[in-house]
Amino acid sequence: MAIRATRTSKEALRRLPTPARPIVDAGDVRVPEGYEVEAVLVGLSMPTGMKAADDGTLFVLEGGATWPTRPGLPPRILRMDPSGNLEVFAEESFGGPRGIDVRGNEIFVSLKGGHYTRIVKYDLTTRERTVLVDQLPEGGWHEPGGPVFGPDGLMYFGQGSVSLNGVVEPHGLTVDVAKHPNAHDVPGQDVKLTGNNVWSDNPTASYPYPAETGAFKPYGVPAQKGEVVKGELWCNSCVMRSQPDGTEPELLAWGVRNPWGMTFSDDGDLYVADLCMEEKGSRPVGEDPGRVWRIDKAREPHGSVETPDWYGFPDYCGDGLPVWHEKHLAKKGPITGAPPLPLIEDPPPLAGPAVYLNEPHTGNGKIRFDRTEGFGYRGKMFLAQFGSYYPLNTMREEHANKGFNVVAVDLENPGEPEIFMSNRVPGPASAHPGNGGLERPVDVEFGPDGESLYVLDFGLHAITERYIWAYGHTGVLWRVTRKR
Amino acid sequence: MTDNKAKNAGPMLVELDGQTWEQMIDRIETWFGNVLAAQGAFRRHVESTLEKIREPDTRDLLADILDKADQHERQAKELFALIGREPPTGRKAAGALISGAQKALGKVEGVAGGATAGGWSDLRQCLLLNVDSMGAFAVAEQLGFALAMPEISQITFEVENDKAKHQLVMQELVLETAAINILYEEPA
Repeated sequence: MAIRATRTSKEALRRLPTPARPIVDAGDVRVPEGYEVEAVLVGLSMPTGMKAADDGTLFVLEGGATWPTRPGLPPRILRMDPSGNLEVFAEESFGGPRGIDVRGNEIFVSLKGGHYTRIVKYDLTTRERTVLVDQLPEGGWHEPGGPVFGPDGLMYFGQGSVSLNGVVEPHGLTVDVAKHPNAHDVPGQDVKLTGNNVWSDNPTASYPYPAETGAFKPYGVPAQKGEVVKGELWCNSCVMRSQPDGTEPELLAWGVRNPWGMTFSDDGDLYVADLCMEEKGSRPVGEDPGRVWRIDKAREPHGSVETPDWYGFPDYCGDGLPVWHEKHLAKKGPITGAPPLPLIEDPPPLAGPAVYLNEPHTGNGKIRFDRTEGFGYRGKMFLAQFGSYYPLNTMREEHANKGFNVVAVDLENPGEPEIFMSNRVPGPASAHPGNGGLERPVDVEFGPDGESLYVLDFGLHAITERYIWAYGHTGVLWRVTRKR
Repeated sequence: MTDNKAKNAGPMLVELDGQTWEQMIDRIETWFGNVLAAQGAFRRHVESTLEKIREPDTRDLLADILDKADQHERQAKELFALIGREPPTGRKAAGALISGAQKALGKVEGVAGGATAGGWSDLRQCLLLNVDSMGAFAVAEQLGFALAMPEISQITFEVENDKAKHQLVMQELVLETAAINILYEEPA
C-alpha cells in the first residue's frame, strides 16, 4: 500500500504546511553531551507505538481514533526498511493499532476500538492476518498494553480500565458513553461492593437527569452494598499472558489502571508503566503519582498462577495510599475537600510497591530498557513522559509543564531520574512559538545498531478546561544517536 | 536501525509534500462549499420563517438566531482564506451543492400534518436545516484537526456551540407549540 513519503532537508522542516506545528527543529531539543538528535519522519498522524526488528526494520503505528477519539485518521502499521523506505504494511480498523512486538517473521499488534481490544498477528512475508485475542473488555479511554514477548517465549499483554477513576462517568469520555453504553470495569477477582455510587448528569438523554453509577457497572447502573461482582479471566485493568497463538491465557495481575507501557528488563522481569488517576469528575483523586510496576507473577511458571495480584485500582493510588487519604483530596475543581469513598468492601492484598513513581500528571508513555552495548545507558529504563493534560485533568497550575520529555531511570537507585531528552524550554514546543522541539513523547525504542534511541512523538495536543484537541500530521519520529 | 545511507539521507515528510497537501486542500475546499451551502440554506429559511411568525417572544428569539446565522455564514466564507482559497461567488455559489436536509425538506412538508399556519412548520424545518449546517461545520472542524489547522477548528467549534444552543431554543419553541399547531390549527 502506498504512502506519500518524500525526502527533504532540515531547513525545509522550518516551513511545514501544518500551522499547528510549523517547525520541527532538532536544534531545539536537548540531549546529553556526546549524543545528537535528528528528525526521521515528520507528519505522522497520532502515532502511538513502534518496534524495531533485528534486521533494522522499524514498524510504526499511527492513526485510528486516539485521544480524543476524533479526528480518526487511517489506522496504519507503517514499515520503514533498513534503507529508510517507508510503506503502509497494513491498514487496520478503528480505533487503531497501539502496541507491537516482532517475533521471527511475524508481528503482533494490539488494536483498540469497539467493545473489545484485539491482538492480531501478521505474517511479514504473506501479510496474512490472524486474530489471536478478541475478548479484552474495553470501551473507555484506557489502552491496551503490549503485546511483548518474554524470555519464556510467552506473549504478555494487558488492558486498561474503562473508567477514569473507578466509576464510569461522562466527564472526559466525550462520545464514548454514547458509543459504549454497556462498557464497564471488570474485576479480576470476586469483589464485594460498598455501594458507594457516584452521581453525574447523563448527557445522552433527551431530558438530562442525574444518573447514579456504581463501580464495575455500566453508566447509569448503581451498585448495591454487599453485592458481589464475579471476577473474570478476561477482565480489564489487567496484565495477562498466553501462548503466542493466544491459547492458554492466564491472568497475572489486575488493578493496574492503564498498563499500556510494557517491557522486559535484561534480567527477565516484566515492568508496566501506568498512569495516575485524575482530579476531575464526581470521584476526583488529587496528586496520584505516575508509576511503574514490576509484575512479580510473571516470574511464576505459566499455568501456575491461581490468584492474580491486585495493584490497587480503583481504591488505591500509585503510592499505596487509599484515594480517600488526605494527601489525595481534590483541592481545585468542581468537587473539593470531600474524599472519594471506597468502592470495594473487601479488597484483596495490595501488591507492589511501585518500583518507580513520578510526579502526578507527568503522563507516562511507554518504557524500554537499554539492552544495547553501545548506547551508553545499559540497564537503565527509558520512559517517554507524554506530558500533562493541565487544565483538563488537574487544575493545579504547577503541573502545566510536567513531562514532555524522556527520562532515564536507574531502578536500583530511582531517586531523581536523568532527563535525557527535553526541550530547551519547559513544556511542549507549541507553548513557545518559533520552537521546533518535542511535543508529546509517547514511545521509545532502541535500534539494533546499538547506537540509536528512537523517540516517537505523538504530535500536538491542545488542552483547555473543556476539551482535548489532537492534530493529525504533527507526529514526529526522532532519533538520538551516540556520537563516535 | 537504518544503515548509514538512510541516516544521512535527511528527514522524510509523511503526506506533507506539496502535491499531497494540495490534493487534501482541494478536498477541504469542496467541503467548505458544502458548509457554505448548508449555512446559507439555514439562514435563508430562518429569514423567511421570521416573516411568518407573529408571536413576539418567538420573533425575538428567532431574530437573534438570524443575526448569528448571518455571522456564521460570513465565518463559513472566511474558512476559505485559511486554506488560501476564495469562497465561491455568483453562479458558482448558486450552483453549490444543495444539502441533503434541504432536499429532504420537500418530504417534510408532506408530513407536517397540515400544520403550516403561523410558521410552525417552517420553524420545524429550521431545526432540520440547523442540524445539517451544524454537522457541516463539525466535519470542517475535523478536517482542521486532520491537517493541523487550528484556526479552522477554533472558528467551527465556536459556531457549533452557537448552533447547538440555537437547536435547543428552536426545539423548545417547536415542541411547546406542537400540540396547538397540530391539533387545533386549521390546515392552510
